[in-house]
Amino acid sequence: MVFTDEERIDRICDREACTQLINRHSIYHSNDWRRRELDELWVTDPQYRQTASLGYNNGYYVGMDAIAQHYVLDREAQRYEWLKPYHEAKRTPLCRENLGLGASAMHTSTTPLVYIADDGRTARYQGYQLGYQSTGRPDGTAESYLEFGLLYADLVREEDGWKIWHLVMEHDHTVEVGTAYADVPVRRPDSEDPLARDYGTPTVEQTVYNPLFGWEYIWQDMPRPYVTYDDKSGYGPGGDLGKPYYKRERR
Amino acid sequence: MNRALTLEQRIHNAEACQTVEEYKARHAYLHGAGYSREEWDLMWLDSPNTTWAHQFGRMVGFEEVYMNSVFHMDRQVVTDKLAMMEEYPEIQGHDLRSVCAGGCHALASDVMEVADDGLSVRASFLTPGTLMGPIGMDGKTRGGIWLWERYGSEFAYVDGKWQWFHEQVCPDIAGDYDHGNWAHDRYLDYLDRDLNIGELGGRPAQLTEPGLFHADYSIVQTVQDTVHPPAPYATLDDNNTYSPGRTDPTGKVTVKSGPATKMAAYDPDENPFFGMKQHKD
Repeated sequence: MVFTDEERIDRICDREACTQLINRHSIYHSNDWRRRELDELWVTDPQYRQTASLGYNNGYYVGMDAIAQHYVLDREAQRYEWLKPYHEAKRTPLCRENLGLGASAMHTSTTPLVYIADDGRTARYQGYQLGYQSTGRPDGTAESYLEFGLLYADLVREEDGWKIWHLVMEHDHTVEVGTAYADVPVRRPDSEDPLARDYGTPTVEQTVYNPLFGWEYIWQDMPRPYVTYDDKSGYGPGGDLGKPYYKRERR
Repeated sequence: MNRALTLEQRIHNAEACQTVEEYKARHAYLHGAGYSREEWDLMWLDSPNTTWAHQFGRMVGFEEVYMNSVFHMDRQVVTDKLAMMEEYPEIQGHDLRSVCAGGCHALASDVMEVADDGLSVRASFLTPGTLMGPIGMDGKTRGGIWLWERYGSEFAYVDGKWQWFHEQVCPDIAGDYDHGNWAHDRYLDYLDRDLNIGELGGRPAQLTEPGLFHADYSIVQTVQDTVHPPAPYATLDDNNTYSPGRTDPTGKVTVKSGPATKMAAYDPDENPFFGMKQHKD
């Protein structure tokens, strides 16, 4: 594909904008600014809102309503549960303003690999998450984890800029503070990973990523130069992400 | 530095930096997955002056780099996976190279300069890397290792496209995520000579320029700034490179290999901390 100088400049800027968009997601996610993230960073066009998806190891939430229910409302309920012990210890009122007391997290997205489609309408992103999350308790103890995983995203250009359309946060490893990782059974089901609680019950339940087999399909799944968006190679529920070879298109 | 660039040159330079980011990221994922051939076939320059260096020395020429980084890497990865199968038969039928992979030399703090002539890019990175695995390097238990390194990378614009030309990997320190005082433990091991500088990681079977190209474990010495962030430069030459003598993509050698510091000639007693040897209990 040959581009004019003006198109080349646009594509350079687009690539930077897409990286910045996911970086903003990382910060909003870390800060638990989830409603704000959906409002500011995700798609707003009705055609994209219906097909927007948020994926975890165990499947996809599809449509902005389902995403908001899980990512914002269910999370808020969870944060109230975490605040309750502080309230019961007569430390603080049980109210929205105090949500997040004693909690801390960072979900970085490093090593960005980004491609803008030749038609300039969508982009594909891959990143590697190095993160942690810690939840304090009123007795002074804390539940703390280091976490590792991969991010994949389809981004789409709307009138006011690039937006998140499909996002997959594959969870790979949880290293719990005070526990030797080598002592965690290799065959422990992913559902018993302490951070599997973040997955919830997706709209479309399917295995998107199995941490036991690691990065087996990364060569097939990683973004590469492409002409235009298609569901099959995208990162939504209609895509091949994480599927075994025999369930992908045969060549 | 030449600032009188045309629009075309500015576009070329911006695309160059984004291509370097792309190549480095693709490398990080493919290396993590054990997919070496896909990396070296697609991104690297086939030149007698292509080099890949680590603390153990420098591989010289595309064939030597390919031999060590693809042939030997493949053999090691597959051998490890076959051993894993003895303990975990459920990985049979899966991809022998990438199954159970999951370590990533995550990229951070990149500094890049495009040469005034537009024919090369020099770049330095830091990496807060991980060597994670559902089955670790022992083939039996989970693996959770961190590894901090520096990279000095150079790319050449040949045949109308950017190609990876030189890489210098500089491991500084590594340890287990769930381990106690890793820096101090390394220090004690160093005092007891259970560990020597230059022994982080293995060594390749074939190496044109052996030597100590980066001193790891900076806890026992001053900062080892082996791959200094690049400064603005006119062209890739022996004064502006991480691979002196090997800067011509067509293969012309300006400085013959070596004399590198031979591993056998390295005297660990030169380290002043040996005078403080006083433990291990």
